[in-house]
Amino acid sequence: MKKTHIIGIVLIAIAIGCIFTLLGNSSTYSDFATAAASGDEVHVAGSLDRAKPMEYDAVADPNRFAFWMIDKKGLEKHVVLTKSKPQDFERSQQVVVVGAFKGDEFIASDVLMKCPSKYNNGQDVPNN
Amino acid sequence: MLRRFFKWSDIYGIVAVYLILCAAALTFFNTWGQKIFFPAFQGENLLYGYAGHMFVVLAFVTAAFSVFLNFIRTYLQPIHDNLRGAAKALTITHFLSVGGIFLTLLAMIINHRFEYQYVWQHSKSDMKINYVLACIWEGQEGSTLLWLFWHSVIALFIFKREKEFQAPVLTIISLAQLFLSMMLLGVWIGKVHIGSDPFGLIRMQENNIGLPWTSHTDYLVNKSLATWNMFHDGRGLNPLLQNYWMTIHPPTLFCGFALTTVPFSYAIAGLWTKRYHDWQKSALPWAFIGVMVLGTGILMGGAWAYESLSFGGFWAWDPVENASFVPWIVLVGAAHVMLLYKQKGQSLFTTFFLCITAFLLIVYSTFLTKSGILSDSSVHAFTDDGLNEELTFFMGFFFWLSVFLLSFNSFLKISWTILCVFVLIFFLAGFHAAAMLIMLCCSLPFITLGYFLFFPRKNKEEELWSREFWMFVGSLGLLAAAVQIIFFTSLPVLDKFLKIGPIHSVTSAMYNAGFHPEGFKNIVDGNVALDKDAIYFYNKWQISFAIVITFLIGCVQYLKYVKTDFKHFSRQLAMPLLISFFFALIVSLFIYYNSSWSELTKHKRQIYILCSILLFTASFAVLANFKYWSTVLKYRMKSAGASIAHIGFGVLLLGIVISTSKKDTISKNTSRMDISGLTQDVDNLENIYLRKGDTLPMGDYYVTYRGHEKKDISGTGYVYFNVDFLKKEGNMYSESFSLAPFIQLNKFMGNAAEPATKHYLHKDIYTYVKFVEDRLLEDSAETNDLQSQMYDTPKEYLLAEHDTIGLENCVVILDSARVDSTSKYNQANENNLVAYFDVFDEKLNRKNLAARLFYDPKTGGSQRQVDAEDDDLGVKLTFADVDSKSRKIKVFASVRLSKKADYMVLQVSIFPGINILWIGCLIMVTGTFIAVRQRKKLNAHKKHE
Repeated sequence: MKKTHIIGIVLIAIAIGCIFTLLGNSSTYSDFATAAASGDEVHVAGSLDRAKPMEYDAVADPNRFAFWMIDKKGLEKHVVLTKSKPQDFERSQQVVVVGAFKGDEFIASDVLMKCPSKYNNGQDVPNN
Repeated sequence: MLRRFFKWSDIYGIVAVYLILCAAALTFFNTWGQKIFFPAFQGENLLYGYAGHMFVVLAFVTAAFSVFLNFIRTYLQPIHDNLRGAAKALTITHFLSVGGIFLTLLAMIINHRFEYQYVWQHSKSDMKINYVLACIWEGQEGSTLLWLFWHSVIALFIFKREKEFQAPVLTIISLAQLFLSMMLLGVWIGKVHIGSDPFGLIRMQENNIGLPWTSHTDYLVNKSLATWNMFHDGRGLNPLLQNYWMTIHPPTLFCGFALTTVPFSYAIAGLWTKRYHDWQKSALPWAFIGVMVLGTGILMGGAWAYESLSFGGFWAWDPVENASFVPWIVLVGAAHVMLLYKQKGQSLFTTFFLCITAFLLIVYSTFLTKSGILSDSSVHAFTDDGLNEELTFFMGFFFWLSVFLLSFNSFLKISWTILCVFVLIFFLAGFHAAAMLIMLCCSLPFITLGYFLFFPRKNKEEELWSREFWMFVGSLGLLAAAVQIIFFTSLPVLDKFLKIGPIHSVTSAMYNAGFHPEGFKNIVDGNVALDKDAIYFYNKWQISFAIVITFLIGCVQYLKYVKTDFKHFSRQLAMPLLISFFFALIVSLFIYYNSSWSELTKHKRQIYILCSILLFTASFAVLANFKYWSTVLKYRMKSAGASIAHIGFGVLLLGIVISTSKKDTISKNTSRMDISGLTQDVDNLENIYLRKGDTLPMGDYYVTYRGHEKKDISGTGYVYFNVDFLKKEGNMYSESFSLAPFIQLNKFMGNAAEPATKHYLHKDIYTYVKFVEDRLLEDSAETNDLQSQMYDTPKEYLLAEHDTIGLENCVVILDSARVDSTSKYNQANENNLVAYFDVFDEKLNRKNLAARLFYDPKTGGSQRQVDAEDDDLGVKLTFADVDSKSRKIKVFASVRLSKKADYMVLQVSIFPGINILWIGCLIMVTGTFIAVRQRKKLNAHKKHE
C-alpha cells in the first residue's frame, strides 16, 4: 500500500468520525421555546434578570441555585442550576446555560458566564 | 566583540538617517487623536506617549524595510551580498525599538502614569513589584508585544548563526513582525483604525472622546471632580492573574509561539528559493526547541490552572487551552517527520506541510482566543476588541503565501492569487466568514494538484517493517488528534459559516427534500454546540489517539531504517510488553474494576476501559524506551535524548491517566433535589455546606471549618477560610493538617477564589471555596454595625405543637399556642393568642420566648403582632396566623445578620499520583533538551568537516 493512500484513508476515516459524532453526539445552541418543545439537551444563551430574586440557600442545598433568565428571543424562564452559586454571578453580562427542560423549569448542569470586567475592559468611566 | 558586531558600513548610515526621518514623519502622522502636538493637561506627562509611539513606529518601519531589503538580498545573496550590513543594522534597530516599546511601557507602569489607558486599566499604585511584568502582558497589546519581542530576539540569532538561508528566513520573520507591529500602531487612516495602541491617553480613548470631562484641564488633579476619584489610581491587575505563574507562563508560551515561526520560515524559504532539501538541517534544531519551549509553556498553564485557578484541575479542554495545544501536537509531528527526512530522504512534502500548518495554527489559535468568536463556549476567551480584522489579514496573508508556494506551478500560483484577490474583495465587502471559508476550501485542490502534478516526488515504497513507515504513521496519528481537537474547538466558527446565506439555503433545501439524519437540523440552523460533557467527549477521542501513539513510541526505536528482521524485533519487545501488560492489569483491577464498578455511569465506564488500555501502552512506551537506552545505548547520555523524552512522555500520560481518572471529589453532598431521569450522566453534586465549628465526614477525613480571617497584604484584601482535616483509622487519628483556601477581594473585577492544596508524595488534596455570602467578606466597622441591626429575610413555617425548626444559629421548638386570657395584654376590643417557644442555642442552653397575635374577637381578623425577640441569640419570631383546619400556626423566623452563621460551600478533591505527571514533564523537557543539544553538536561537527 502506498503511503499517500494511507494518509487518505486515515484522514477520511477521521473526518467521517468527526461528522458522525457531530451529528449524533452534539448538543445545540437553542432558545427556551425550542428547548421546551423538544426537551433535548441544549445550550441557551441569554441574560440574567436582575429584577427577579435569585435563590440560593446553602443550608438547604448547596447544590441548587435558581434564577430567572431571559433568552436572546426575549422569553424568560426559571433556571435551576445543580451546582453552587457561581461567585460574582450578579455581575455577569451574559450567561450560557447547558441543560434541558423538566416541566416548566430549565434544569442546568452547567453555566458559563461572561463578566464585563474579568477578561475585557469594562469601561466604567463617569460620563460627566 | 561589540565593535565586531557593530560594523558600520555606509549603507548603515544612510538607512539609519532615512529611518529616523520616516519614524519622525510617521509619529506626526500617527495621531493620538487628530493633532500632532497638543498641550498636556495638569498632571499629565506626555513624554512617555511620544517615546512609546516613536518606538512602535520605528519597529513597524524597520520591519517593513527589513522585508524589502531581505527580499532583494534573497535574489542577490548567491552572487554578491552587498546589503548584508544594512540588513544587520535593520535587524538590530528593530530589536532595539521593540525593546524600547517594552521599556517605555515598564517605565509608565512603575511610575504610575494613570493618565494612560493601558496603565490605568492594568496596574495600580500599591501593587506588589513582582506583578509589574504581569501587568504588561495582561492586555491584548502586551501579549502582542511579547510575541513581537521574541521574534526580534530570534531574528538576531538567525542573523548570527544562519548563512545560507539568512535572507529569505529573515524576510518571512520580518513579514510576521510587520503584521504584529501593525497591531500596536493605532493609526487612523481615513475612517479605518489600524491596530490598538498601548500608549493612548485615557481622555483620547475612542469611547471617551467628546465627553465633557475630557476638556477639563484639571481632570487629574482637581479632587472635587468625579474623574479624580476615577483616575488617581488604576484598576489593578485581575486578581486571578496576581500570581507568579502570570509572570512566567505568558513569556514562555509566546516564546514557543515565536519559535514555531522559525521552521515555518525555513520551509517557506526552501519553497521560495527552490532548495527543497537544504533548509531542513538548520530548521530541525529550531523545531525541537519549539517543541520543548511551547510544551513547557502549555504545561505551565496547566500547573497554573491546577495550583491557583479554581478550575478544579489542570486541564479542562477549554478552547483557550486547546488553541495552544493543537499547534504543539502538529509541531511534534513536523519535527519527527523532519527527522525521518534527514535519515531517509522521504516524506519531504509532509515536512513542508506540517511546518507550515503548525505556524498557521498558531495564528489561527490567536484569532480564536482574541477575536471573541468563542465567547459563548469558553470561560476565559477574550471578547472582541477590534483586532479581529488585523488578525484575519495576518492569517489570510500567510495562508495565501503558503498555498501559493505549495502549488509549485506558475499557472496554479497565478490562479490562486487571482482567487485570493476576489476573496479579499469579498472580505472587504463585509462577508468575513464566507471569504474565509472560500479560501480554505479552494486551497485544497491547489495543494493537491501542486503535489500530484508538479512536486518532485520519490516513488519508492517503504518496507512495512521499517522505522520510517511507522514513524510516519505516528506523525499522522498526531495530525489526526490535532484535527479532531481543532475541529471541535472551531464549532463556533463553523456555526458562523453555516449561517451564511447560500450555505444555509443549500442545507435547508436538503432538509426540506427529506434528508433528516440525526442532528442535521442543527447543522441547517448553524446551532451546533459541543457535547454537554466536553471533557468526557475530548477524553474519549484523545485517549484513543494516545493509545496508538504511545504504542508506536514503544516499538519504533527497535525498528531499523529500511528493513527490520521481524523475529529479532519481537524478541526485543517481548519483555516490555509482558511486564507492562501485567502492570496495567493489576493497576486497573485495583483502581477501576473494584466494587464500585457497577455503580458507575456509562461514560465513566467507557473512559475507564480506555484508561486501562492507555495504562498498558504508556507503561510499555516507558519500559521499551528504557530498555533501548540501557541495552542499545548502554546508558550513554549523549544520544539518549529521544529515549528520555519518550520515557518522560509516557510517564506524563501515566500521571494524567491515574490522577484524572481517579480524581475523587470527596465533598459529596446529599442532594435534596431530584434530578434523576433528567440525564443519565449528571454527577456534579460535589459541593458541601460547612458551618463554622461543624465537623463533617468527607471521604476518609473529618473536616472542620474553624472560621475565616481577613488579611490585608499591600493593599489587597484576602479572606482565608481555615479548614482542618483529620483522618481517623479505627480509634486513631493518623494524620491531621490544615488548609486555608482563600478569596482575593477586588471591587473592580470581582472576587477570585483560589485553592489550597496539601501535597503528599502519592496524592494531593485540593480544596477551594465555591460559595460564600458577601457579608462574610465585608468586614468593615460600618457594615458590622449595620449587620448588628438588620435581620435577614424572614422564612415562613407552619408549626404544630412540639414541632421543631432549625435556624442557622439555634433550634426553635414550639411548646404550645393558646389563648391568653389572663395577662395585661387582654383588652376589650381585642383578644390575644400566645405561642410559647423553647429556643436552644449552639451550647444547648434553653431560653423561653413568647410571640403574640392580636385579633378582633368579633370578626376574628388579626390586627397586630408582638414579636418574640432575643438580643443574645439575635432571633426574631413572628406569630402571623392560625390555620384552624390543620391546627397549625404560621410563624415567620428571621436571624439578625450579625448573628447568622459563618458558613461556606466547599469543594474538596483528591488527585492521586499527580506527582507522576510533574515528574513526567521534567523528564520530557530534559530529554528534548539533550536531543536538541546533540543535534546542534552534530550540525556543527558536519560543518567543520
